[in-house]
Amino acid sequence: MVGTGSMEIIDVLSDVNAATLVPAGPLSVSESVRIPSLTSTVSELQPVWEKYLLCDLVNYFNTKYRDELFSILYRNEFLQMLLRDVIDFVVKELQDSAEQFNIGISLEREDPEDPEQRIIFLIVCGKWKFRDFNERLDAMVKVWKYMESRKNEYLKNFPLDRSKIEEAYFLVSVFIGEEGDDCEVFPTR
Amino acid sequence: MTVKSFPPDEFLNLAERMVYLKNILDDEALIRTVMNRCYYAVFLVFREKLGLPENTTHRRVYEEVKRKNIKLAGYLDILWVYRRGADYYLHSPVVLRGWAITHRVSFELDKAERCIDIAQRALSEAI
Repeated sequence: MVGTGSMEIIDVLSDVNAATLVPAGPLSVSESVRIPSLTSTVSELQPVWEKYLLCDLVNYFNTKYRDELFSILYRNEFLQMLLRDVIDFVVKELQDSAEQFNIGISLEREDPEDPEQRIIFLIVCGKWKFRDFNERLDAMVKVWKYMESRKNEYLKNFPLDRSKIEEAYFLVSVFIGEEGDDCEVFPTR
Repeated sequence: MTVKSFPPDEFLNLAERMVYLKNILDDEALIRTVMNRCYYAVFLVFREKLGLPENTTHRRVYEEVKRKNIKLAGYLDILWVYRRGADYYLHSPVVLRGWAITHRVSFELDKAERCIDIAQRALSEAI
């Protein structure tokens, strides 16, 4: 997300196995179809979904900042849903385009008036079959468009929660890195 | 009196001219400047198209663009990452949002060319 130049990166969460929800280690393409806990749709959600979804997501990202991540996601259930849906989509959509990839998350603070708020960046790094940057960019566009479609779907299904849904939409960004990049995001100076 | 207005896409034209200078590989400042100008070309064109005032923050412009077109917002976001690396970080490597902005001592030309590609996409799709 575009910031003002004073953005502070406060977290590094990286290298999670998207297929099995077991932290650390690259995603094997052959394993990447096994994502049972990240595949339910809005219409299938059960009354207890929120509790399990939140726990799944917090455990999914292998971080020492578990409590902070929990509190960020706890604020907005649509943030949880959007993250879950985007991760699910990324894993399915990119498996044929990669030999392996990792999904990391970076939490960045941009608004000094709302110190609790964090911008969430999903960072996907790997060894791609893309021939050039433009193909990777096209893959990013596909993920972004999917994110937008999920937002519209949430708005349709939960019209009373518009502000929460839009907040979640603005708080999440997705980047696809390349081999040589790192899912780690170092603190800014 | 006629009010004169500078067309910000001229910054992209400048960046395109700079990237073809034959000594660009030896000139890290030039490469950094290309990346910077690409971002500002797109940022300012978007801000003007949205009718936002000149003191609008980068974040606000991004959000307004994202509200209308997530793809254009994504382009702007990537350019911002590169621009940030180019303008603020002098030591290599620096990783911003997972992207290794510098791999070696000098900035790489292909990063500058990427910025031009993205800026061209952004401006052509914004019309």
